Order: sequence, then structure tokens, then C-alpha cells
Amino acid sequence: MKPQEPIPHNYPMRKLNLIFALTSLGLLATTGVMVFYDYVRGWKWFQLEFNRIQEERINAQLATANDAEMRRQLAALDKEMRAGQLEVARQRDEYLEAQKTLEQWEGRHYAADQDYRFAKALLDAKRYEVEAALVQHRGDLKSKQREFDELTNRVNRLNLVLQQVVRDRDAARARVGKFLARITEIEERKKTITAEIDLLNKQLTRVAVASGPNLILNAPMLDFINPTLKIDQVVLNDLFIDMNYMSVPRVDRCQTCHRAIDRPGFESKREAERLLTDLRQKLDKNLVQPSRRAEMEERVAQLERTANAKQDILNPFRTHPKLEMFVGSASPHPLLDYGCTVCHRGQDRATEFGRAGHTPMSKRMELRWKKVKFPLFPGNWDYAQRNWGYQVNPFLDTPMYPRQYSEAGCVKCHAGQVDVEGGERINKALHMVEMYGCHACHKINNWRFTDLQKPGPALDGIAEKTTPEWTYRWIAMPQRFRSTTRMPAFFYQRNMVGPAVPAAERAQNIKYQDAEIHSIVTYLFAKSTRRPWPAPSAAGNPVRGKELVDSIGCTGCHIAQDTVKDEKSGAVRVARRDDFPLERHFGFNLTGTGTKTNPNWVFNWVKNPKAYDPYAPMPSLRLSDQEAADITSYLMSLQKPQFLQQPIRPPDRQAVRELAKGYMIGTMTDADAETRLATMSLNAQLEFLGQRSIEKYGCYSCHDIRGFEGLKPIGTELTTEGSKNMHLFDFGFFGDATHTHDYRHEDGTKEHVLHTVPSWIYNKVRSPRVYDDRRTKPYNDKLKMPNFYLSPEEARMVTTVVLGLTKERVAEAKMAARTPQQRAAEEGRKLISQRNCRGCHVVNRQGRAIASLIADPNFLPPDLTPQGERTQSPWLFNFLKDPTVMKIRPWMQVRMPTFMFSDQEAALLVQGFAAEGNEPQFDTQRFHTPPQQNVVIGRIVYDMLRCQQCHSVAPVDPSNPPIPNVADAQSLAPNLSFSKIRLRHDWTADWIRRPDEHIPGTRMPTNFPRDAATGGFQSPLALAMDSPQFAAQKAALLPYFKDEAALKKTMGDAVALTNYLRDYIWSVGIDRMRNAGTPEAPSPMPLPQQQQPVAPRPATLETRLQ
Amino acid sequence: MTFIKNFVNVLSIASISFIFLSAVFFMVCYFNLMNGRLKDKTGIAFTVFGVICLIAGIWVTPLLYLGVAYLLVMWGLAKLGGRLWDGKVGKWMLIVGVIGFGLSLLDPNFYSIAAKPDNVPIAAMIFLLGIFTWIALKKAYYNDQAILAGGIPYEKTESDEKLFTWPDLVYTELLCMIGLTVVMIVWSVGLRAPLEEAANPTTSPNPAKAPWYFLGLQEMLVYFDPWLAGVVLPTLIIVGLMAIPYIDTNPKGNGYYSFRERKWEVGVFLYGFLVLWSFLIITGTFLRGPNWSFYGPYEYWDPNKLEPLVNIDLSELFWVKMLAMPLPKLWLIREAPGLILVLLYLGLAPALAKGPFRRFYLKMGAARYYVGAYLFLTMLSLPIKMVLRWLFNLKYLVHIQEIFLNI
Amino acid sequence: MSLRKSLNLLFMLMLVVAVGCGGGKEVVDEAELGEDDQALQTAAAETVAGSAATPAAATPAVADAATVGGLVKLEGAAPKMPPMQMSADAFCASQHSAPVPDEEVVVGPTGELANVIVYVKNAPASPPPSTPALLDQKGCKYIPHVTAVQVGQTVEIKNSDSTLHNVHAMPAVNSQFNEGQPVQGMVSKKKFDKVELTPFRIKCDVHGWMKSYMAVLPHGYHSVSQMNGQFSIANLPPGNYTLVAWHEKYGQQEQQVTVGPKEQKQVTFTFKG
Repeated sequence: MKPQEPIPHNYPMRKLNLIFALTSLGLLATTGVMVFYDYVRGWKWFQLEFNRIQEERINAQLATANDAEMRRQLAALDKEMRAGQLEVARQRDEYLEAQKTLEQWEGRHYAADQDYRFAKALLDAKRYEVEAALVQHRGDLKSKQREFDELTNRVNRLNLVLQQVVRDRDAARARVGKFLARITEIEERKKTITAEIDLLNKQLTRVAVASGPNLILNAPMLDFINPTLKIDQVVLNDLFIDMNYMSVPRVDRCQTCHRAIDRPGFESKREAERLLTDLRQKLDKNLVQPSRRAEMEERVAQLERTANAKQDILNPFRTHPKLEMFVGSASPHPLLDYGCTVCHRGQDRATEFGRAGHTPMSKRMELRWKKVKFPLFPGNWDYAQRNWGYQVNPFLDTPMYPRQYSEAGCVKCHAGQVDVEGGERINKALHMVEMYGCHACHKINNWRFTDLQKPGPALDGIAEKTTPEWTYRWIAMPQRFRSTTRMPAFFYQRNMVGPAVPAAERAQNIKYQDAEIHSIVTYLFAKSTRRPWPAPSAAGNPVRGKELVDSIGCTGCHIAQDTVKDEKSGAVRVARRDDFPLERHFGFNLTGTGTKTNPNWVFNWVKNPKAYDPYAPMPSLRLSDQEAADITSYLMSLQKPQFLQQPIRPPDRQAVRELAKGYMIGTMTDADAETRLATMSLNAQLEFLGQRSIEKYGCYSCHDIRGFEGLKPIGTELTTEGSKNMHLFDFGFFGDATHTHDYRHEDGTKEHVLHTVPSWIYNKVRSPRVYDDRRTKPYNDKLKMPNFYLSPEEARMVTTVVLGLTKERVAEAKMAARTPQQRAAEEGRKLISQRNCRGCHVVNRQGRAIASLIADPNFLPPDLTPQGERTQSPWLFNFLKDPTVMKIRPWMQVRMPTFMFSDQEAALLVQGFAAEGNEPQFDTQRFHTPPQQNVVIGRIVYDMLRCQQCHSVAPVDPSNPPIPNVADAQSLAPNLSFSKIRLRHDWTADWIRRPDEHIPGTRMPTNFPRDAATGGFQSPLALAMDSPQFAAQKAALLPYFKDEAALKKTMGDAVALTNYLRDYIWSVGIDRMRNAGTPEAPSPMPLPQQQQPVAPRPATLETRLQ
Repeated sequence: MTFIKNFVNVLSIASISFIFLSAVFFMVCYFNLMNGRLKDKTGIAFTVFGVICLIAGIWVTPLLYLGVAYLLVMWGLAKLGGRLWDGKVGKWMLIVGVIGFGLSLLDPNFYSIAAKPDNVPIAAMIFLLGIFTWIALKKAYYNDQAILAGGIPYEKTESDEKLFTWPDLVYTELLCMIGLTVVMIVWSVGLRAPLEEAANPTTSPNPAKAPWYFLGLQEMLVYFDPWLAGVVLPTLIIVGLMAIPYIDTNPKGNGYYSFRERKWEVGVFLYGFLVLWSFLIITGTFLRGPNWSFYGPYEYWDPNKLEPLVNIDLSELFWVKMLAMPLPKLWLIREAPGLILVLLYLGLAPALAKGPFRRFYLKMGAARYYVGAYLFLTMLSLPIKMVLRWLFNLKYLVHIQEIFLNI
Repeated sequence: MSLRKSLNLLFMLMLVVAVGCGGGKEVVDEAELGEDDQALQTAAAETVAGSAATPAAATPAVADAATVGGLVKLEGAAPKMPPMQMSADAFCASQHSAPVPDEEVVVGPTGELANVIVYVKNAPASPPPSTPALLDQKGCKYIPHVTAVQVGQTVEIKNSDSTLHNVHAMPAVNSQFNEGQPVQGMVSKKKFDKVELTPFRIKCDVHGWMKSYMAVLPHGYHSVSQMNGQFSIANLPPGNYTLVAWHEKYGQQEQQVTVGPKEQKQVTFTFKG
């Protein structure tokens, strides 16, 4: 057969092979890349960096620990060691011999032990067989039984053998041990010396970045064994994250990068310094129990190290800034129970910077974050420049709160509370939202108060109070009258007359706005009552009036100034709201009252506010006619004439028509509207328009207005605003499309709109109409939210609250204030906040806004922080109902107002205070009558301590005690005869013992100072006993004691002494007090108000329409 | 620069670009495959169309743009004629395309869309489609020329040579495999797979887009009732593809590329595949933005952009607009005009069988002819519906809520 | 550049990087804090105040120490001081035959101003002396009326009257206290561990007229002007210093002094009446 001729290949083989080689190599390389990318994760770089930091620290500590002294000791020990070894070497033969025998015995023991254990194993197996045979009634039961017994014997035998062997082996061991005794002992000592270093070294091995084992443990493909770099997570089974289809437990992996979040010692310098000062103060006041003092000082040293470190620790490696409050294991929110995302939000399981939902505080921050050191490369961030290659995560429903809004996280658990301990900022923010009345226009479900009053005064009687002219100017621009007012500005805002509005439209808008204001005023005055208030019954003296206003406590709720001295520049400038504590905005600013109202109204109002408006929040200060007249004349002297100079443009008929028609054609045809309008006078049109305008702007949400009873508030509901998705917010023309992010705020500052929800809300409250910029909308469609002229900080506060209102629901177990006691306390706090008690009193260490206005701290209203422990419920109840029942410090000028609490309210307050003080409602011991001898001893101690120098014990009529000579009121203290009926039995003694710890800065001197070392009490009388000046008392006391020693002992015992004093005071106390009468002086005239139903009238639609 | 961008933006409006593309398709068929001339009848017809566009452009600006672009391209294609398939020309077209794409990437808006990881394959697809279609047509063209010259197609010439499976086939396949794997890995590492958070039913992404291979369907939904676009048409597409071998009995072109010998087969398929399917996918990917409204390639995807909803049904058009009378209550009467039109459309098949398509009918026989014809009509219904939409804002021809039948 | 290329490059980068993952610098963090809200800012302010309290280190005694002495004068007419209202406490009243003028301003015949604290502002800190500072309450008056003590120095507050005094110290930085002294001759020992340059008030709530002022300084270079207006600060190492004089009514003044080795410097402060 002939050979087949070769068929040529289509491609040259060499070329194919070459390609094959190359592509395969390429494949290999790419596979490498794949593995590498899978291995190199961002968080690993963070952990490496953190390890590096730790390594540095440990090395530093090692350097200090491993000092000359220790090396010397070690050297000495080594010497001894060598000596010991020589010792052994000298009796070498015996030693070796002993060693040999030991080894033999070890061998035997091993064998014997094994035999025993095996035999035992057999026995157990056999036992089963026997049992099985027994139950199954098998024939071989007997044989099995026999074998079992045999085995049992065998096991016992072997056990005996084993015991023998063990004994002999131990003997051998002991013999060898004798030789080595010294050496081993030395080794022990060495260990104790080097213990610290060994520990550090152990830690070092774990964190050493470049150490061999770690490199292997963390090597790619091998890191499944036990890598030092691994993801840390907390699983929170009762805190759920809403995945829309289901809610799954949170798994917070934040620690993976935030390594030191719960580890003290990695604070920022500033933070460290803050903590240092706190801690030092605690130590000074020795408020730490001696047992924990050592550890505290340890901590101080640590903090000092951090504060003085040359390099500040940067995030993500910082300790949580409030470890005592969050994350710390001793804190109320330990990491293992609360994790991170439940407060901060963000993606719990994410381990990438952007994915985790970090949100920048500002544009600058965002830009910095976005930069990346190496493109296409995961990790190795630039720590110094804070470049993380950040990408915003558009799909995350719950991005983190930017840092300035962190407190928003508190709301969902604490919103029900009035005072969140340690949450001053969020407390203030929540209170601010109520004071400024956000809740009035915006429905907020499950807010802490269900019965909040409308923030504005009732306008039913506006005509009695002021004039249309004033009202017009006021509505037009309230801030022009009072820079600190809470009333927002509705008109002439940026979307109506702002620079962005084209001139023609602006002119038209102004016409419309004028018309609307006119119409509102017309409506209000048309609907207003006109009760003739009688003129002041006495001639007033403005000077005296001013004194009264300043002294009797009006200033707790009212500000009487509209300029302040700037702290920084020292120049006098127009006052801003946040120049004053929130409490002082409770009542309106008194400046310009004269311009605003008339003397008759003021007189009757200050005398009895409820006469004008049964819901008026203002309490009665029980003014006499003369006082009322004085105050009236003072208030009337507060004039702002220039305000009334501002021109009022007459309403533009055309504009009124158009607007009115605009509303009418909603319900009728254009033609009908025309005809109808033709029939209406301008006034009628205005009134019609006024009603609609009030509806449009929602005036009725904040003010009671006739004809608008029971209408729904107009604002967007905010119940879950915080979890609304970003695309539901209308950014107007702010954003990337138009490349505009900045705008100039009314007050001239430049503001910035980030494309995030927090930023949207912030700018919304800061400048509510800003999102209308450059938009062309019909007049009535323009944004209507009024402008409160919030300062940036105020705006941040409000934003914080709004962000906190989320749809997340937290497990009951994790909610705050759940126990009945806490609830009771909260109920009390609610009233305290609603009645603005903090205007004058300190409650829970906060408040007393009035303090700055009363020169002498001795004339301040009392600190109510310990009220619960201090006073008895019945007394407190009575006193709240009618403060005149007992004047404890009659020389005080500040008056406790009559709030006209209902019984139930008073009861709530009393319970609240008791709960705050961890006290039972009623103090049974007050009825206990002290033994006579205690009283006598108490009496003597009483004048030994010279209590009578300030306290009188003469029983007096509680309701009106003699007004003492106020000239030396300095040295006055409450009359002790009130104590028995007012104070709690146990508290009284404790108070005498340590007044300063109950109320810091109290006038009551500390008679039993604490011993700095032990923290125990010292008694001044201990030594006094011997001094001649007390000879008489000593003589008097001795009969009551076994001997002088006993006497001295008692006199040195603060507890005993204070109890004696208490018993004495109890013995002089009075037993009855006047009952709370009907508090209110009869109002000056029979009031039409009385006939009217005080319950809100139902909305009657038809009355509103015709 | 901005002018060019605007030009492209306008040109890529769904209607304009669709017309433009279809036109180009036909022009290529005519001028470059069938050696048509500008002078002859069809050529003049083409020109006239362009001129009409220009004139209409006086009132409707986009049409002006269209006209200009159209005439330029026409002139170019006509000038090139067969030389379009010349390797050098092909290379240049590719280069120009790539450069154009590259330059467009400099535009932030274009970049943000084109560089989106999920869109990269589509961008690649544009070029691949172009290249391979070009190659195929090139071969077809040369074969046709050869046949015209009385020769035989290139494939025939080499078809009697022999090669070993190994190495010539398997080895090369292996190499391709490896190469492909490398590309895949690099790709998937290079642009990280775009994984997203857990879906939130209350907030669907805007625009909500189907996977790229279904974007054609999604685009159809704009013009058809979901039931048709989502169920009937896709089914028919698949059935149709399966049916092709049984319908197409043309023995010519087996084993070699050719256009002249199978104008209809190739033409119809290419039109369906390129213009009615791939083009829609590309549109859906790059030109459909938030609210599924239309954005030019250089336009910013502004979610606030609104498109007026003024589409009306034929019934409204007929009764209300033309006869100025209320819609009849009875749906049969109300929808009569639409139904009649649809029936007429369906009637086209037999009609054509008697008329112009007589020879197909004879050649294929009744069964084959009708199946093919109806598939063809259904396919054609898409562009027709589109054009109707663009011309009259027509929503549905037949709109019977009573029985959920919308056509 | 093509992906393949960039990836190859990545390997290099990764090597480079793995070596040099560096720690953070202060700079940018500050910038960041610049953006923090007031809350953080104020926090910072507080801590600054607090950090002034870090205990001072001892300075070695210098050989050629200088002494700064001098006089404090009041220009213009000395104000007439009202007498203290001691009527409230019989004992106090009994202690004085003639009414005692208030000690707010005590001026010598030729305008020498007493009770002025003079201290060196920028002197090195020095260890507290072992000798306690004494504040006596005698005849319902504080003696001395003005005191300057040193951080960590023991202050002995004595009650030489046989009436109740309570020592109510109201410092701003140090922790305040209020102790009763019912027993005649009893002494309570106190220490202040934070510097408090602006003197704080010490009052007796029982006797409203009683008040005294006390400054807590980080070093021993201070003195209180006597009845003759004289003060002197000894053992001062040579150098440039700022002298500060403080008076409870007339506020404070500063003067620059330069002292050479062993120099006896004379300085005069004059307060406007």
C-alpha cells in the first residue's frame, strides 16, 4: 500500500504552541489576580494598621518594663541558679541513679495505667451486653454474667496494681525533686519577676505584623486556620434590622475596623483630656468608693499617657468618645447588648467603607473621603489624608447619621422620656421642637406628649388685647418686633420676594401677600370677642413694677430684653433666641408690650390669666391689685414706637378678588364666582379670603381661632420622617443636574445642600422656602412653611430630632424607662416640662433659667433634685395645690405661682418626685415619736452645733409666719417646726449629715466633713468634749451615757448625732397644716368666657363656607 | 462640540433614530449590496424621502436633523457602493467608531451611563454586532459578485480541501477557551460585579430596567399592551425562529454567504435582528432614563424630566376627534374602526398572495406561505405601531377593557 | 491603559503598599474638627480649661536669685467704706466696740492700697511649701482678708470666735466646699489642686458681711500687699517676667519686669480710684 501524502496543517504548530504557552501563562496570572483580589480586603489593611499601633505601644511598654533593676535581679538569680546546678553536679551519681529509677517507674506506671483503662473499657462494653441479654431474655445471659464478674475482678486487681505503681513512682519523683528543689524554686521566682514582660510578649506575638507565624496564619488560602486578621462581629438577637421582606437580627461588624471602639486607651487627645478632668474631679470630691480608687488612678495614668502621646490616634482606631455612656461593658449600652448600628444606623454586616453607609458631615469631608490612594486597588487607605475611596451607597435605606446628628439615634428608644440622663443635647432638642411648636403643624405619632398645648396664644379675644394695625405689622414680620419670638414669619419670604424671583412676579406676589395679611387680620378681628376689661383699680408705679417683675419670678419664663452684650466682641447686638435658655422662651418676650396692648388687658391678664383664656399656660402669681397695677404701668412703659411707624399698604382690590376667586372656583364656576364677588363688599371679600388664608397657612394649628376648631394640622406627618427614602424629598433645583449646591441664607451666611436626607432637612428648617429657588410655580402652590430664622445650631437640633423619628421599632426589652417607677417619674417630668418648672427650679441637676437674674444665690427658688427623698407626699400635694398653705422661707421675694393643678396633676407630680427619689409614696415613720432621752440629747447637740443661729424652732402658723427682718436675711434658714410635717424622717438625718452632696452649693454648712482617706464622716464635737466651753453640755449629757468613753464615742459618731438632732426636730415639729383652699382670687368681673363652653367647639363646615 | 452633541442627542430620539436606522439599513441593502445607483428610480425615491424630511424639518426641527444626517449618509453610501466592503474602509469605519465612542466618554453624562459595569457588555455588543455583520455582508457581497461574474462563491472553492480535527480544530478551540477564560476573569475583577443591597419593594430603582437581553421586550412594552409585548410576541419570536428552517426552502446559499440569492430571507432576518431587536436593546440600555423617559446619550438623567401623557386610542381618535361625538357605549361599535383595521391588516396576507407576493405563494405553497406571512406581519406590526405612536400619539388600535384585549 | 496592563501594575503597587502602610498625621483630623458642630467646639474649650490643672513639676532653687518688691498705691480719693452690719449676731457685735468698716478697700494715709495680690504670671512652677497658709476668722472677720496660696499647699481655716461660722468657698475651677465650724478654735485643713488665678470668694452664710478672697497659684512667686502697700517676691530666678496685681474692687494690672542675678527690683502699681 502506498503511503498517504501528508495533509498540511492550517496553522503552523510552533505558532499555536507559542500562543498556547502565552495564554496559559496569562490564565495563571489572572487566576493569581483573582485569588489576590479575593484575599485583599479593605478591612484587613485597617487591622494591620491597628496591629502596628499596638505593636508600637507594647514595645514602648516593654522598653520601660525591662529596666536595669529587673535585669540586675535576673542576673542575681542566674548566679544562684548556677550555684544550684553545681550543687547537683557534685552528687552527680546519686542524682543520675535517682533519675534512672524514676524513668523506670514512669514506664511501669504508663503500662499499668493503660491496662487498667483498657480493662475498664471492656468492662463497660460487657455491662451493656449483660443488660441487653437481660432485657431480651437471651439464653447467654448466664455466661455473659460470668464474664462480667470476671472482668470486674480483673479491673479491681489492676486498679490495686496501678495504685502501687503510682505510689512508688511518686516516691522516686520526690527523690529526684529533692536534688532539683533549689533550681525549680529559683525558676519560680524568675517567672514572677518576668510575669509582666511575658504577658506583653504574648500579646506582641498576636499583633506583630511581620512575625513569621502571623504571616503564615494570614497567608492567602491558609487563612482558614486561625488568622490574626479576621472579621469581628456582635450578633444582636433582639435588635432587628428591617430587610423589607423580613426583619433579621443585627450583626454588627463595625469592630472589624473600629478595633478599639470598646477599649479604653485609644481616645483622641481632646477626649482624653475631657475624661481626665472629669475623673480628677471625682477623685478630688472622693466620690469613688475606696475599693475602686486604685483602678481609677490606673485609668488616670493611662489617660495621661494618651493625652500626652506625641501622635493623636485617628479613626477608625479611636475608643468610643463616651465609653462611660456607650459600648463600654459597664455602660448602660454595652456593646454586646446594643451593638453600633441600632444607634448610628448604617449597614450592619458591611465591611467596606462605602457599603457600611458612612455619611460625610460636609461636602469637604465627602470629597476627601472619595479620593483614593491607588485606583483599582482595595485598601491601604491614606490614614493621614482620610482618603477611603468612598462611594455613596444609593441602595442603602438606612445610611449612618452624620456625626453632628448622632443623637438622632437616641430618639427611637428614648423619645418617650423627658430627661435622658447624659443626653443634654437631645433633651434640649426635643424640648425645642415642642417649644417652637413643630408638633402643632406636623403630626407626630407616639411623641412623648399626647396632650401638648398649642404653642401660640388663643386669638379668640385678640381685639381685647391689641389693634389691627399692630397685628398687621406683627404678622408681616414678627422678628421685626421681637427678635427672639417663637412666632415664625410667613410672608415676604425668599420664594415670594427673594432675589431669584423675577421683578414682575415679585411685584405681583407682594400685592397678594399684602392682601392675605389684610384678610387674616380682618377675619381675626371680625370673629374676636370684645369683653370690656375694667381699668386698673389703682395707680401704678412703673419703677416698683420693674422691681416686682425682676424679683417675683416673672423672668423665669419671660425675657424682658431685646439686645444682649456679645460674649466675644462685647458689643451690644440684637438678641437671638439662643442667647437665652429655652425655659425663658416659655412666655413671650416682654419688650414692646406697651406698644402691643392696652393697660386694661394687661392688668386683668397678670391678675388672673385664666380669666382671659381658660387654657392660658400662665400661672397666677397671686398679685394684689396694687402690684398688678404697678406691673401694668411698667409693662405699658415698654414701648417700641418705631414699630408702628412702618407703613401699611392698603389691600389691592384686584389681588383680593383674584385670590378669593381662586378659592371659590374650587366649588363653583368662574362666572358664579364673579357674580358672588360682585355682591360682596371689600370687607366681606377680605373676611372670606382671611378664612381661606388662615386655612392655607395653618394659623389654627398653633392658635385657637374661632371657626377652626378640631381641624387637622396642615404640615407633613413626621412620624417616620427619619426613614423616608431620599428620592421622596424634593431638592428642587439643587443637585448635580444644575451643579448648584450652595445658596445664600437670609442672614447672609452661605449654606450648602448635600444630596442627603439630613442635609435636606437641615436646609429645610434653616430656610424653609429654599427649595423653591428658581422654580416657577403658581402663587398658591409655592412652599408655605414659615421661617423660624433658626440659627445653625438650632437647625441642627431640630434636624436631629426629625432624623430620629424612624419607623424602626425596638424590642420592648431594649426600650428606655420601662419599669413602673421610671414611668411614674416620667409622668412627673412631663408636667415639669409642660409647666416650665425648670424656669425657676433645678430639677435633675438641670434648669433654673432664672438664676442669672437673681443676684444673691440665697434668694433662688429651691433645687428640686432631691425633692422626692426630701419631702412627704401629702405636704407636697397640698403645697402644689396651693402654695400659700406654708411659707417655708417667708423672706423670699420669688413666689411659687399657683398653677391651679387639678388633683390628678398634683398627684402625678407627687408620685413623680417620689419615684425620682426611689422613695415610697408615703413615709410611715413621720408618725414615730422619738424617745424622750434622744430628744434631750438632740437638744444639747443642737445648741452645741449652734443650729439656732440660723434655724428657729418656735412653732408658728405655717400659712403666714412672721416676716423676719430681711436686712440680715443672709442668716435665715427655714423654721424647723415645719420639718415634721414636711420632711421625710430618714432623709432629715442624712441631710444634716451631708447637705453638700444632696444639693451642691447649698447654704447649709457641712458639719461632718468626710475624711479624705477613708471617706467616713468626722464629727467636730469629738474633740469639743474636752474644751472648757462645752463643760456645761458635757455635764448635762453624761447621765445619758454609760461612761465618758461612751459619750465621746457617740459624739464622734456623725450618724448617731444626726439621728439625735432629727429626733429633737421631730419633737418640736407641728402636726397639722391648712388644707389647700380654692386658690384663685375671684376674677375682677363676671366673665362672658364663663358662659362659653371651654371644651373645643366642633368644626362646622357650613359656617366656614358661607 | 456642544453642537455635535445636540445633533446626536436629537438624532437619537427614539422615532428619529429608528427611522434613520431603518433607512440606513435599506440604503446599505440597496446601494452597497445590490449596487444601486443614486440616479435610478429607487435611488431617486431615497433622495426624495431625504428632501421631504428636510422640508418637514422647517416645522419639526428633529426632522431637519434627520434629513441632513440621512442625506449625508446616503450620499456617502452611494459613493462607496461596493467599496464599503473593502477591508481598508471597514478598518476606518471601526477606527472612527472607536474614536467617536472614546471622545463621547469624555462627556460626564455619557460616561456615567456607558461606564456603568452592567452596560459595558452592551457597549461592546454595538461594536461586535457591527463588525460581524460587516464581515458577513462583505463575504456575501464578494460571493454575489463572483456569481454574477459566472464564478462560484469562495466557500465552494475551499470546500473540498481536508484538515485534521486535531490540531486544526480542537487545538484552536482550546486556545480560544483559555483566552476567553482570561478575558472573563480580568473583566469580572476589573469592574467589580455590581451587587446591591437587599431590595426594597417600596422603593424600586428608577429607571427599573430588565436584564439587558430583555430590554428589547421592555422597549416593546412602550408601544404594546403587556400581554402582547410580554407574552405573545416573545412566543412568536421563538416559534418563528424555530419555524425558519421549515419555511425557508430556498436551496441557494447553503454553505456560503450570499445576499442577492436570498434578499428576503437575509433582509427580513437582519432587519428583525438588528433594527427591531438589538437596536431596541441598545436604546433601552443607553437612552432610557428615569421614569423610562427618553434621554440623548449626552443628556443628564434628570429624574424631574417629564413627558406629557397625551396618547389616545384609535376609538377616541375616530369618534371624538373626527366625528366629534361621545364614545359609543357598546364596545363592539366603539372599537369597530380599530377591529376593522386589524382585520384588514391580517387580510393583507391573502391579499398579497393574490397580488405582489404571488410567486412566493406559488413557490412555497399555502401552509408555508401563510405561516411565514403572518410571522412577517406580526414582526412588521412593531415598527408600524411605533410609527403610529410617533405620528398620532396612538395608544391602542383596539382597546377593550371589558375583555382585557388591547392591540 | 488596558485592564491587563493595569492589573500587572497592581502587583507592583501591592508590594510597595504592603511595605509602607503608614500611620496618621494630626493635620487633617483638625480640619475635620473644624467642621464639627459647636457641641464639639465647646467640649474642646472645657478641656482646655481643665488641662490647666495638670500638676506642676518642681523647679530647682536657683543660686543668684533676685527679689522683686514694691508698692501698690491708690490714686484719687479713698472711697468711704460702710460699716459691717453685725447686729444679726450678738456675739459679733460684742466683739467690736466701734463699728468696723467694710474691708473691700483698705487704704493707708497716703493712698497705700492693701489686700492686693501680686504674683508673677510666667514664673516656673515650684513645689508647694510645707508650711500651711492660715485663714483665721476672728471677730466675725476673715484675717487676712485676701490670701494667695499655692497648688497643693495646705490651707488651715480657723474659727477663733465662739460663734458658728461656716466657711463657704466658691471656687470656679477647684471643687467648692461649705463647712460649719461650731466649735471655737476648730481648724479645717483644705488643699486646692488646680490653679485658679482669678481669686474666688470665701463667705460665711451665717454672717452675710463676712467675705474673703483667695487665689491658687502654681508657684511660690506671689505676695499680698500689706497695710503699708508693700509687697515683695523673693528668690526669683533671673529673667523676664510679667507681674500681675489684682484687687477685688479695682480689677487687675500687669507690668513687665526684667531681673538680673541677685537684683533687688522695685515696682509700683497704681490703681485709679
